Amino acid sequence: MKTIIHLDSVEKSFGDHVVIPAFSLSIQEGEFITLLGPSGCGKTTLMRMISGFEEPTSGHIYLDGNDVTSIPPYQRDMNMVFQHYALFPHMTVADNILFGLKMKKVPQSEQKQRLEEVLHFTQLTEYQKRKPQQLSGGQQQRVAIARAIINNPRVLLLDEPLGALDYQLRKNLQVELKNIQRNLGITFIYVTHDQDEAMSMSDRIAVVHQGKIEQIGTPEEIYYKPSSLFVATFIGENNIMKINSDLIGVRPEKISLHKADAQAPHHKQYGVIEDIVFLGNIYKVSVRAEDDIVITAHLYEKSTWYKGERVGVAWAKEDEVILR
Amino acid sequence: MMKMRKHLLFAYSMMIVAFLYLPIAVLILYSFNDSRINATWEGFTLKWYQSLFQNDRVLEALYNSLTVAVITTVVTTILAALLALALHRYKFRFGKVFNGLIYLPILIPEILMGLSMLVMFSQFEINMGKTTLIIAHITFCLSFAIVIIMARLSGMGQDLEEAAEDLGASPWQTFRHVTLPIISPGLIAAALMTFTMSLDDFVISFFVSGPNSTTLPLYIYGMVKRGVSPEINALSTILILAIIVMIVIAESLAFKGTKRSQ
Ligand SMILES: Nc1ncnc2c1ncn2[C@@H]1O[C@H](COP(=O)(O)OP(=O)(O)OP(=O)(O)O)[C@@H](O)[C@H]1O
Ligand SMILES: [Mg+2]
Repeated sequence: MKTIIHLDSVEKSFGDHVVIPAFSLSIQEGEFITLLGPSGCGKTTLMRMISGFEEPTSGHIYLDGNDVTSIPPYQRDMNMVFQHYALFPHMTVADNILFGLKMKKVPQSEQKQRLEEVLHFTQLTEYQKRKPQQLSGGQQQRVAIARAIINNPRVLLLDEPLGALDYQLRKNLQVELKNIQRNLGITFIYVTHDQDEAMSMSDRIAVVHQGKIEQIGTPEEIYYKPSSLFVATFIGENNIMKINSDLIGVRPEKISLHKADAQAPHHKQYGVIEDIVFLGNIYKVSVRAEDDIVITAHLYEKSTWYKGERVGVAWAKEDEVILR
Repeated sequence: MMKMRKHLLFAYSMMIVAFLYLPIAVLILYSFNDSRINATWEGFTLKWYQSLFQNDRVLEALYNSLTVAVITTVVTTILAALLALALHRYKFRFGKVFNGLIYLPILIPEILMGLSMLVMFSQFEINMGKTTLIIAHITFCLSFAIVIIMARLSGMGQDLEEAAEDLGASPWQTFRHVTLPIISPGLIAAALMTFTMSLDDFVISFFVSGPNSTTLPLYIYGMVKRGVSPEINALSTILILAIIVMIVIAESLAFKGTKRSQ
């Protein structure tokens, strides 16, 4: 694997407000990496620095080993898909998609051929003569993607590209985007605040908090081996408990409930069932344990558990994650 | 009771409309009146329009007005576009103060502007004529034109220009293929507005015009001093119609396509 983008101690402040403190990250060629973090943590700022719309206050950005820190966006071999699409309203779908090739004065015949391929690939062939205003949100988004990938960029930056779409459409486009990435082998840098989206699409996820990387790793590592309290609580649901002097986290689906009088040795806590909520695929059971903490368990069967019942709460030792 | 109120409201609205348009309607009507005196209706005629177009002094005033208006329009639109683009692209430190300075001339009474320009031109010992007229017209039209173009630019936002740059367009290509086509309705609206304002300005022109640069409004004023003739009505009618047409076009262009579908 070869590093395609390298951020070396990149810092960004607006006035005296430090948005990104010294940030370093290496991105491999062909990988799908997601920046995941709460609103305002600096994801868009990072993307804008990589694409060249914002110059870092200090530090360097390398593309393919070349320092591109102060190279303008139109000379960087990467493309961005904007959150609000930013399609040109005065051009047809075809002209929007061809824009990049026209600016680079690619020969007509090649333009035509690549347009056809991309239109076919994004299923937009029948809409090519329309103006963007005459398309649905999902179609507009596909035009934005087509307009970027027709340039065969080395890297595609996507800043919450599906943020404005409804659930079903998001799901479909997630699959399409993942396929595009796999088939074209383009490096994707993806920003989202949707964990499920990050989990299902990414090769690696970087969890960003206040401009810093909290943890970077595969979706499994991030989920099962969170390295900090922030990651443990930000990604998915987690039960955080203080045992002896350690802070530990256990995922709700790893928790089992037992009759209180069944004197199983591995009962870690006792408590009273406070609530049982049906979530469609699972039952979410809240148990108020000693020290007044609430432990959540995700069960596939409701069994005979009832509100107010006193129960034993258990989990396997290997499902504990020790948080510093 | 409700019905009564509705009728009253309607009557009131009609009165306001009459109040606004009656003088103009009368003026237009009497331009077709077959009588020298504006008092009684004696039948339909077009002879005032005919004599108007045989009057050399009217034609010269028309020529002056059009020359001044055309040059003012071209220069103002270009200057305003450049300034609006600069303000849109670079947020400088005193941006707010600067914006205020641009709006201010819209609020300054015309008579003060005319007077101050007269003082300035005589300070520099510039002879009054078409040049001073054009300079003065550019000065008072500039603010309006900038405001119209700025509105269009801020409606466009920055996304589109960034998208173009991201796709490999140089700053010039971005301007040529994205910014210009999108703001062009604003440019046309600003140009039409400038043309109209230049064409019908009286107060400022009164101060800064010279003996050979009588414009139509100044000529009309001169005619009135010798008594209101139906020819003035005819001339005014033509002017009003021309201005109405241009304002309608300017307005419809200024707002055309600003609502982007999302
Ligand atoms: N041009 C700017 N001037 C001043 N502050 C800015 C500017 N752009 C961003 N910021 C600040 O930088 C911080 C990070 O913003 P950024 O847009 O990168 O967050 P984000 O992670 O993309 O958030 P979201 O998920 O809401 O899009 C915010 O506190 C924001 O107020
Ligand atoms: Mg953002």
